[in-house]
Order: sequence, then structure tokens, then C-alpha cells
Amino acid sequence: FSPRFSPARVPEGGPRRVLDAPARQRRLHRQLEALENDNFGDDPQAGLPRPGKRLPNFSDTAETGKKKKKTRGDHFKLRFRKNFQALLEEQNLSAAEGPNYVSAGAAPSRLPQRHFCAVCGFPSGYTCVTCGARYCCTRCLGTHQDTRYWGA
Amino acid sequence: PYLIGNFPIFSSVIPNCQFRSKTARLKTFTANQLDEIKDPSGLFYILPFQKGYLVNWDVQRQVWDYLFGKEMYQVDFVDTNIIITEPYFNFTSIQESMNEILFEEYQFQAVLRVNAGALSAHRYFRDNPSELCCIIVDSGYSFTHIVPYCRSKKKKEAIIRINVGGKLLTNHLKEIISYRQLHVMDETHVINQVKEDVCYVSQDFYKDMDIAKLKGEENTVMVDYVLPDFSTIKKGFCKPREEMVLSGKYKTGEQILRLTNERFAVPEILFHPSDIGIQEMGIPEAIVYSIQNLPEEMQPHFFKNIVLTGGNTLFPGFRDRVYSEVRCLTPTDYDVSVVLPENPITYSWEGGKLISENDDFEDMIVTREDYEEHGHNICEEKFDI
Repeated sequence: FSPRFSPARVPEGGPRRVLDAPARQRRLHRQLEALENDNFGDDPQAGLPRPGKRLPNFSDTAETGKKKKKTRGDHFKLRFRKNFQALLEEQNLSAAEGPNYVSAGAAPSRLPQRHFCAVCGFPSGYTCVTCGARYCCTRCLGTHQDTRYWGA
Repeated sequence: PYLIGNFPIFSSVIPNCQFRSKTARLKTFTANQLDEIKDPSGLFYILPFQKGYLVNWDVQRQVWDYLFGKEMYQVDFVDTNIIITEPYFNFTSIQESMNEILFEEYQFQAVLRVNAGALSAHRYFRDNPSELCCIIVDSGYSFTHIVPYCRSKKKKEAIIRINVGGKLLTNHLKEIISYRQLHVMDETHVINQVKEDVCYVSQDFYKDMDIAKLKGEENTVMVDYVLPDFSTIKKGFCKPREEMVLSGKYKTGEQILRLTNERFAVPEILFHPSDIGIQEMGIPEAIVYSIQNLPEEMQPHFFKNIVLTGGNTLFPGFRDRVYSEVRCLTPTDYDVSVVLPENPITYSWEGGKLISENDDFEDMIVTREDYEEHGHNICEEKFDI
């Protein structure tokens, strides 16, 4: 054997796990969704207790001459907190009915897809048998196998 | 500078979101209070927008309260008109909420709601009064829109949305740096700055890839970026070529990122979203596709007037690359002209300023009295969103 391929990398005993097409799709989908996040971690203030309702500053009420119209409490907040997905479904759009958000989405490209090594980013020529990731040389394959993420 | 009353008219670009910092707990920074944060590492962003549409009114109102209040612009609502831009095909519920908040809560005197592209088109036609058509490419944080305008009306059926924006590019850059060099997934603000400082659009992708593989002096693509530590180094910067240690390690204690193909592979996603698995057309292909779906007699006019706006167009080489790709895909008897304005980010704002000085501005806006009498219907009729 070539010394680079130590048998320890393959799990002892069991057969080589190969991810099938739906699993690869799910993985790709999860990666693309992660790219849409505003933040990676959690809110730094998530665990802290909310500061209790502060009494209005004396200077605030003295400053503004006119009263702000009171917001209608809970109903207001409920309406104004829907997330994007909920709003989109509310619109109930279909691509067929004239120009709208759904029909404006770009169609797939007519050019062939290019592939890049998952490890170093240069154009790749080879595909990992188990998970379908691309690599460009045996060194990158080694790094890929060392850092393989086994999640579905 | 232009003056009206005592206030010079100028534009400021202010982040429309709130920030929380791991170091300054219990405090939420709003909009340009970002500059007050001494240590913006691990900065947490709170945006009122999701995928480009306004969903979180709590945050938006907090930002507006701050901007319109006594610490910033001290707006006197009764005497103020506001021009506000909205994304294309904005949802009815969001438009209605916007009407309510602007008229009933803030009580502006009058409101004009438009698409940003309409303002850019207006600005473009002011510089080119003989042209009838133009196509606006607006590439921003959440997505990119290709919108043809003919005589100031947008051609709805030809609008294309590519779901690639600055946020996606920064997140992708964070991922590849985290995998290859250093864990930076929490450092959106810092890596965004890296992206703006170091990334460029390649004119010849495979050639740049080959150069990026070379070792030593010949690799002109490679750059070493010094990360800020917010005590001695306040802002990241590229190491000058003379100081770069090309083989071996650096002796100084700074954290350094070595960037090669990432520099041009990241903006390449705007041109080939399929590179990372998004099955959509890139910007030049979408421009050509959009124009080719319009009546044939109009097409040459659109090809001659392609306007690039939005933050992503600031990548060096962007304009030339769009031109060469669109030129390749277009019949030779059509002229192709791609314009990158001096300031692509404020271009639509400049259009808004011109519109507000127009004689027919009064006919375009909806006043508070109109809204109180007719409700949402009058906004739906007058505003073309």
C-alpha cells in the first residue's frame, strides 16, 4: 500500500458508507441554507433576563410636545412578527399567474456547472466515492478524509 | 453643496440594523452606533430584513426611532415628506404595514414608496435624456435584480432575481477561510471588510487560477491580510508586497490570512452561482435572457444602456467583466454599453433627490389626508411596486 493511505482511516470492520443521492441533496440544501444566515452563533443576550419595564425617562415625555399614537398592543406585535416564509406563503403565488416574486426567480444556467476542490478551491477533476465531494489531488483527498463530516 | 433652508443636501450611508457585541453585554447598538463599539469581534447582527423583505418591524421601528429622533436627524414629521424604497414584488401585507407605520405611527406629511431601480433609472435618464430604455442591475446584500425600464416604467415580465448577494458572498468566504485557515465563522464584520479590501473580479478565470497555484514571487494573486486585534491594529489591511514572507512563517505576532484563489473565486459566484450549487443564471446571462424576452425592436436600446448599481458592483473589474460577457452573448449588430456610476451605492438616492425636486413630485406622493380618506387603496393605485 502507498504509505499515505493508512487503513485506519476507513472505519474498522464495517462496509464503506456511501451517501446516496437524496442524502447528498439534503447536505447541499443545508449548506445553501447556512449561507443565508445573518449570524453563525447565538444572540449574546439570549440567555440574559430581560431588563424589567423601565419607567419612562422624565426628559422624554417633557421633550416631545405631541403624543405618539398608541400602538394597539398584542395584535400589532403578532402581525408584525411573521417570518419571511410565512409571508411568502400568505401571498399564495404561483409562477403561472403573471409576473410575481415566484416567476422572477432566475432560471438555471445554460452553461455547464464547474467543479472545485472542496479542500483548496482550485478546479477539481475527481469525486470522492463516499460523499460526492470534489478534490483535485491525492493530498486534498487525504485532508478531505481526515476532516470528513459524517452528518447526513 | 446644494442648500435648502439651513441644511446642505448630502447622503450618508447608515447600516439599517442593530448590533450586539460579546464584549459590551446588555447594550444593543442601533445603526451607526456601530462606530462606538470598541471591539467589534464576534459582532451579532440583527436585521429587520429577511431575504430582502422587511419582516421584523420591531427592529425597523427601533432603527427609525433612533434616526428620526433627537440624537440624529430630529425629524419634524408634520412638515416632512419621505421617499422610501422597497424590494420588487413586495408582499401586500408588508406594503400595508408600511403605510400604517409611516402614516399612523410616525405621521409623515406625505410618502412616496418606490423601487430603488425606479430612482436609478430616473437618475440615468437625467444624464442621458435622449435614451428611452435602460436596464438596471441592482446587486445588493440579499439578492440581485435585473430590471428593464422603458420610459420610467419597469417591464414586470422581464424582471429577474438572482438569489446571490453580499451576505452570501461574505458567508461563503467565512466558510472557506474557516475550513482552510482559521475559524472566523463568528466574525462577519471583519470578514466583510476582508472581502471588500481584497476580492476582485477576474477577467480570465482559468488564467488567474493558474497564476494562483504558482509558488513564491510569481504568484501575483496571493495576498497576506493582517487581521485586526482591536487593541494595536484597529483595522485590517493587506501586507505590502515588500514585507511579505513568501516561504516560511511570519515572526511577528499578528494573525495573518493568506488568500489566493478566494480573492476572485468569491465574486465569481455572482457570475456563476452554479459554482457553489445554486442552480441559477449569473448576472451577464440573466441580463441577456431578460432583454431577449422583450419585444425585438426594443432590444438594441436596452443593450446600449446597462447600468450597474448596488454594493457588489464595487469589486474591481466588475464592470469590465460584465461588459465582456454580455458582449460575447449578444449579436454583433447590437451595441453594448455597460455603465458603472461613480457611486453605485448612492446612485438611487441621487435619483430620489432629483425626483423630489421635480414639478410633478406633488402628483406622485400620497399625503396623510389622502391616506386617511382612502386608506390602502390609494397607495396601491399610485405606487408601482
